[in-house]
Amino acid sequence: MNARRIILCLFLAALTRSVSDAQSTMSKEEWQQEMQDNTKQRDDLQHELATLNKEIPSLQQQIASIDQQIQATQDATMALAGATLEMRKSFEEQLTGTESTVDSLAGKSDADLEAHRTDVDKVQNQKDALMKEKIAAIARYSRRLEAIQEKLDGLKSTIAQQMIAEGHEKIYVVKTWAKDRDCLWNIARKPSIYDNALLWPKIFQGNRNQIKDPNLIYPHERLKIPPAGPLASNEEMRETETSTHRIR
Amino acid sequence: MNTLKSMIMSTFLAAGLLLIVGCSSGPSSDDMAHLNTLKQQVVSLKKEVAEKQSAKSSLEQQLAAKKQALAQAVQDENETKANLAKYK
Repeated sequence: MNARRIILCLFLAALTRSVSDAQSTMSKEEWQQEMQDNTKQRDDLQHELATLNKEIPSLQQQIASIDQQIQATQDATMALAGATLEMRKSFEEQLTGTESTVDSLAGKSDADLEAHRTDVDKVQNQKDALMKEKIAAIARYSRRLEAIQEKLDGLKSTIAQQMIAEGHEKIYVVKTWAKDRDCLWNIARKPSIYDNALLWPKIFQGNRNQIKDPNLIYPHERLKIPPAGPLASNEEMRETETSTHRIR
Repeated sequence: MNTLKSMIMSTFLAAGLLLIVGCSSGPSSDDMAHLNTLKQQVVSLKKEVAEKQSAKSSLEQQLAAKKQALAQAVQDENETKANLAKYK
């Protein structure tokens, strides 16, 4: 009897165990498949990680190398113009100051700008002074100076338009060559005009709709006289173009 | 008779016991623990790989930008030489 009871208890325990095992979601085969799949995934990921751990330092090295090349090229560029660090700092300060002034003038209304035309001339002089320095040949600076000149040309054009609109423009009526020796050179030289013959391109540029050839102006032509000031880049002419400016 | 019956009964019960234990042999709890550890390793590795790939992409973008900057620096050098030639 005792043996039977023991066997019966063991039977019931085994039955309970098998029932609980049957309630888990996985058979042995499924477990083995999962183990295989996950092992393969782990191995693939470890391989991928090892590859990335080589590639990342290589990219970092390439970046560091290119940084050095950039610095060396920039230093060589500065050395071409003989620009020391102090010179660069000083030049950049002046350039930034000039850019700020131009931007400030550009923000004014047309009428206000006309009242500040002497300020425009001052900035033009500042820009011309910067252009004379050798360091201005450095590409990054020359591009900024070109941008300043473009803005200045725009401001001068606005001023000229404003002066015409308000009737402030000066008009010169061309006389004859035979008697008055009127040509663009001599007109510019008159004290009442520019008192400076070299500024004749201003008259030419200000009257392009009338004057096709600076060597030919006609009596009784009414020429607008733009405001005095340094020649703008579009007003600078080569010496070969400044021949006789005669009147027919 | 009774003893014989008891012996036959015990034999059947023992055979049944062996059968049940043999048939219900799925993964043990140790096996399941091993599987779970493996799965956690996979999750952790996936996260690490994703982070490294993101870092690699970022570096590749930086490298491309640096190459452009170098090309610009070389162009600036050539432009400066041309400007200096005019300056002279």
